[in-house]
Amino acid sequence: MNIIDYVIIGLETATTWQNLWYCFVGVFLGTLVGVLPGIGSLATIAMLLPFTFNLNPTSAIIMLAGVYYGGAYGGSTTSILLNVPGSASASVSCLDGYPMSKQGRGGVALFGAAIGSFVGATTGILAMMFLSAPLAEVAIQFGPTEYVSVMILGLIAAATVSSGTPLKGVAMILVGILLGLIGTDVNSGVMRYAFGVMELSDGIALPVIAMALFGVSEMIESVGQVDTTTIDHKAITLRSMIPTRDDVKRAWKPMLRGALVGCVTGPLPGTGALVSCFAAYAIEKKLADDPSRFGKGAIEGVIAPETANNANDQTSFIPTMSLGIPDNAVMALLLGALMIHGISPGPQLITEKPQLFWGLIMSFWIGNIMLVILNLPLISIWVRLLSVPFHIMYPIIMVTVSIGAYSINNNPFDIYVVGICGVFGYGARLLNMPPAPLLMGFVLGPLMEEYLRRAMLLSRGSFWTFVERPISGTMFAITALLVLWSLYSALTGRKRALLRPKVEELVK
Amino acid sequence: MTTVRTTGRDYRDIIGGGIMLAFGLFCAIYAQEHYKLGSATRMGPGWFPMYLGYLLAILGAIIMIPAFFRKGEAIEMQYKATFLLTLGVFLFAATIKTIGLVPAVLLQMAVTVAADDKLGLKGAAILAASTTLAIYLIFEVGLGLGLAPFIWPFGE
Repeated sequence: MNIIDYVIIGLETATTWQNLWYCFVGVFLGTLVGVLPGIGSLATIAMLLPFTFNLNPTSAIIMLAGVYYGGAYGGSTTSILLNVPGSASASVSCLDGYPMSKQGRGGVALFGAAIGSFVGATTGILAMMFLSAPLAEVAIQFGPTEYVSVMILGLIAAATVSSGTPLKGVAMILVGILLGLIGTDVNSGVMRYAFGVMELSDGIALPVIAMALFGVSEMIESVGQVDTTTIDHKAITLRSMIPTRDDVKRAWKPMLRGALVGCVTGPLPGTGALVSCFAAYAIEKKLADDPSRFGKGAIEGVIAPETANNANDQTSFIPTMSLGIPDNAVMALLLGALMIHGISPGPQLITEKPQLFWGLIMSFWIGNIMLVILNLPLISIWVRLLSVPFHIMYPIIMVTVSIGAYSINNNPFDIYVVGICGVFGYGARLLNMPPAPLLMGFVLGPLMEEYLRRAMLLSRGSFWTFVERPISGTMFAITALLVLWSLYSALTGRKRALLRPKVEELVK
Repeated sequence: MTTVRTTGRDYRDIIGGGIMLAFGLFCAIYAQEHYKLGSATRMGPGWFPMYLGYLLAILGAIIMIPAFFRKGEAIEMQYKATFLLTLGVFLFAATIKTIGLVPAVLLQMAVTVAADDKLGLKGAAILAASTTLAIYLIFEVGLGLGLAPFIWPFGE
C-alpha cells in the first residue's frame, strides 16, 4: 500500500459522523480552555479522560488530541487582545500581538495568527505523514536495550532541556515511576506498595493522577489569583481582520520559516512549544530589514511564532505515535489513554492499527479547518468568554473532577485519592517541583521496568549492553551529558535553563 | 507589584529535597524488606523499585544540601483554598454513594465556592443550582453514566 491508500483509509475513518463530532468537541473545548483564564489543555484532557473510556479508541484519541492543538489557537487570542498568554508558549505572541491590538490592528493580528496556525499545522501534518512510517520502520528493529535507552533519553530530555530546575525534574520522573509501580507486578503477581488496600491492586488510575496534578492542584493555586478582564468586544469584526497588501507581503516568508522551525523542535524531546516560538521570533528579528519594528506591532512577530507553535504541536505526535515515546506530558496522557484502551504504543501501531493512526492524522486536518472557522468568523463569541470570571469556573471544574474520578470505577476511593494527590501536587508546585515529569514517569515506568527486565535477561545481567550497542550507546551518552548538566546546575544553584530562553531578552 | 520575600535559606529546596530523600529511602527499604530482589539477570519484584528508591534519595540529597547555603524565596501557601477545595472533594466522595448525585454536587459546591469571596451568597446559590442542573442534564440525560440523582436513606 502506498501513502494515498493510507490517506484514503484515514479520511474514511476521520469523516464518520461520530469521529467528526468528537473532533469538533475536542477542538471546541480546546479553543474554549485556551481562551478561559486559569485552566489549560493538560487539565482539560485529564478531566475528559475518564469519559472517553466507553468510546472507541480512535474517537477518544481524536477528541483528546483536538483539545491539545485547539488550545494553541485559543491561547493566541488572549495574548493578542489582552497581553495575557493563555499558555507559556503564547507569551511570545504577546510581544507584537498586543501592540497591534492597541493600534487597532488586533483583527489583523488574529487573522494572521489563525492563518499562520493553519499553515503550521498543515506543514506539521505533512511531516508526520511522511516521517512517521520510516521512523517506525527503524524503531521496529529496536530491541529492549534500545527501548530502555530511548525511554530514558526521552524522559530526561523532557525534564531537563527547557527547565530551570532540571534536577528536580529528574527526581519527579523517579517519583512518577515509583507511583506507577503501585499495584500487581505482572511478572511475579506480587502486589507492590499496596499496603493491603484492595483498591490499589490495579494501581492508581492514570486519570486520577492526572486530574489531581493538573486539575485540583492547579485550581487550589489559582483561586483568588486570576484576575477577570474586560474588553471591548465590538472592536473585533470580520472587516477589521482584512490584512493590507503590505501585511501579506511581509507575512508569507515568516510563515514558512516558522513552520520549518516548529517541525524541527516538535519531534525532538525537551524542545517544546516555547522553544519553537522563541526561535521563530528570534530568527525573524534577525532577518528583518528594520529590527526596531519588533515589539511595536510587527506582524511577522505574531505570525512566525504562531506558525511554529502549531507545527511543533502537530509534529510532537511523531515520536509519540511511531516510537511510543511521548515528548511532553500531554503526549504521555494520550499514550496512557491508548493503553487504557488496550493498545500498546510503539512502532507496530502504524501497521497494526492503520485506521487509528491515519484516522488521527486526517482528523488533524479536519480539526484545523474547524478551528479556522471557529476562530475567525466566530471570534466575537470567544472574546466575550474572556470575561468569564475564574471564581465562577473553578467550582464547576472541581465538581467535574469529582464526577470524573467517580465514573472510572464507580468507587468513591478514587475521589479520595484525587483529593489527597491534589494536595501533594499543590505542595509540589509550592516547592517548584514540576508535575509534568511525574506524569511522564508514571505512564512510562511500568513499560520501562518490563523492557529493562528483558534487556538484562538478554545481556545476562551486564549493564555494559547499554553502552556497547551503537544506537543505545549514543542515546546513553546524550542522556549522561544532560544528567551531568542537571547536577551542575543544581549544585551551583543556577536557574537558567539550557534552552529556556527568557522572553524579556527578545524585546531588548 | 508583589515583592518576593526572601529567606535566609532556600527552604523550598530543603523541604522538597528532604521529602524526595525520605520518599526514596522509604520505597527502597520497603522493597528490600518485603519483596524478592532477585538479580540483574532475573529481576524480582523488588529490584527495580529498590534501585529507583536509592537513586531518588541521592537526588533528594543533592537538591537539599546546597539549599542550606543559599538564600531562597519565601513559600506563600493558600491555606484556605487548599482546605476548602480538598474538603469539597472529600465530601463528594463521602456522599455520592450514600445520598446521591444532586446532594453531593450541592455539598461540594457549597464548600468550594467559599474559597473565593468574590461571589456573594445569592450568586453562589444561583451558581450551585445551575451547575447541579447542568451536570444532571449532561452526565445523566446526555452521557447516561447511571449515577442516582437522589438516594433516600430509608430504603429504596
